[in-house]
Amino acid sequence: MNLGIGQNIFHRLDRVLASDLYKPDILHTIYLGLFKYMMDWIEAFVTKHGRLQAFDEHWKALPPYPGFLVPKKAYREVTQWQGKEMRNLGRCIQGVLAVALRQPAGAQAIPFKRALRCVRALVDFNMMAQYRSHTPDTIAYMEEYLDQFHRMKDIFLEFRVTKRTQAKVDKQRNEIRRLRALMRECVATSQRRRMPDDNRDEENEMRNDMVHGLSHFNFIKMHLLSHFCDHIHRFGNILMYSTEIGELAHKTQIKQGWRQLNKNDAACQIVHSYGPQHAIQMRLLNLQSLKNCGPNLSPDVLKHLDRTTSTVWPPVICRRIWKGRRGDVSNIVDFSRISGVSLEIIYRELIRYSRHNLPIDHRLLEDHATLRSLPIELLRQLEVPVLTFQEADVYEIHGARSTVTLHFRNQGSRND
Amino acid sequence: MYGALRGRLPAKLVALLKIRDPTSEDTVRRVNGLQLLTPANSGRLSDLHGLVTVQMREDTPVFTIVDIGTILGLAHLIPEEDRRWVGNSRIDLRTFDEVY
Repeated sequence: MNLGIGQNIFHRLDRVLASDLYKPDILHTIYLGLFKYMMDWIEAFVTKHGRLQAFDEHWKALPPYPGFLVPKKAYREVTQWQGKEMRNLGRCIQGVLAVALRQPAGAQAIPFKRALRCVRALVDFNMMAQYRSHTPDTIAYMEEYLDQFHRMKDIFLEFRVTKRTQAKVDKQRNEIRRLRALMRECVATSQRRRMPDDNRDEENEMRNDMVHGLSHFNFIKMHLLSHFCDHIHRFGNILMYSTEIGELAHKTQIKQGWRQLNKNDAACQIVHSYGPQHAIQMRLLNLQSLKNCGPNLSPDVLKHLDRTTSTVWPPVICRRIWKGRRGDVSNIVDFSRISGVSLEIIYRELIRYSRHNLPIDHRLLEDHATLRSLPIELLRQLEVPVLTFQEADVYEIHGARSTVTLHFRNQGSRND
Repeated sequence: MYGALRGRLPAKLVALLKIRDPTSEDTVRRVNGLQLLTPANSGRLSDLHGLVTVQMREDTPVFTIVDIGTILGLAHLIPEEDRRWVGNSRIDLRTFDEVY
């Protein structure tokens, strides 16, 4: 190829390297890139091995988890695969595939193993790419996962057949069949009976050779993964450069702005109204962050903060909260009736709990008559604050539900 | 303990109970009724898929009372067979970092 590449406009800027301008982007490279390709390969793979039905069933039966959107449809019925769906997929695909490919038949063991390892390597790479801070070890892990993905991805090569390759395969197969038809006329009748099987094997072998020879994984998003580790070394974590922030601006900046305005010179109004709002939000977050430092700040700063901040911030929740008291349970007998657990078992467990966990002077009396009349409350939900990964004061709330036998959202009982 | 789970054990929540102590009016014990699961293969990660499998054995006690503080958070268990689940450690970054 004789390409004439001229001067890039960035070449004239001081301290700017055009090659450094590309920033790894998890949303477009992994979620909407590699994951999307991978799901095409996986779908073809499980179809080939007769596991598509199992994959669909396990996909549909995924349990809830905080921040995870539970799929309501089988995998094949989902039509919209955008960033949010692909992020969700990355969180569960390995588990679903592992369950769908369990108990392989003899010949399936090796392909299943390679497919699972390939998917596992890409998912692990994606997980570690989301870390907010890295050490040489985490970067080394990422490199190892990427290396393993490249070593294992050949298992999906046969599903990378392009239309051109398929056309070549078809053409060659037709040519071979034509030649065979000519040869068949010269062969004795007894030998002709054995020919169809031999031909089929030979055709499959020929097809595999051609597919493996002509198919490849040389596409841009596959290559971009190789820059992730180097980028972290030089510029820090990848989330800093995520384009998801820009994508979210479509909603907060443009759509909400459009709704709030009188539509008179809308573009100008949107630009002018969002800037001050964004600046105030940033200011409030900075003040909140400073306030959280609390005792570490000098009194002057604290005095200034009190003067400038009029908002009263709620305290950070870091204790367990109970919700949803049930009115139909007031003692052990009621609970036994509702839950189906026998009174004997409940007594035994209460005594064991009391002996192992309570101080001697606060232990429960161990006679069944006292235990039977013990006043209790049965609740439906427990909120457990769980510290967010790599954060010091940000919590995710895990809501553990126990409806015992009652239905939850018309879908049977839920006991997490 | 429990291999890759590092001391954590998945369980099925049976009931959330507040027990009032009749000997002292102000004391309330907050406890959970659980059905504990058992890690298969001593909690080692599978060579194949890198996840831990847990199961509910036939001899598992149907009801165990533990203190509320022992619950660390939710686990994402994908049903594999009847009374057998695969623990999805890729569900979030914290679980991914802790279960390996």
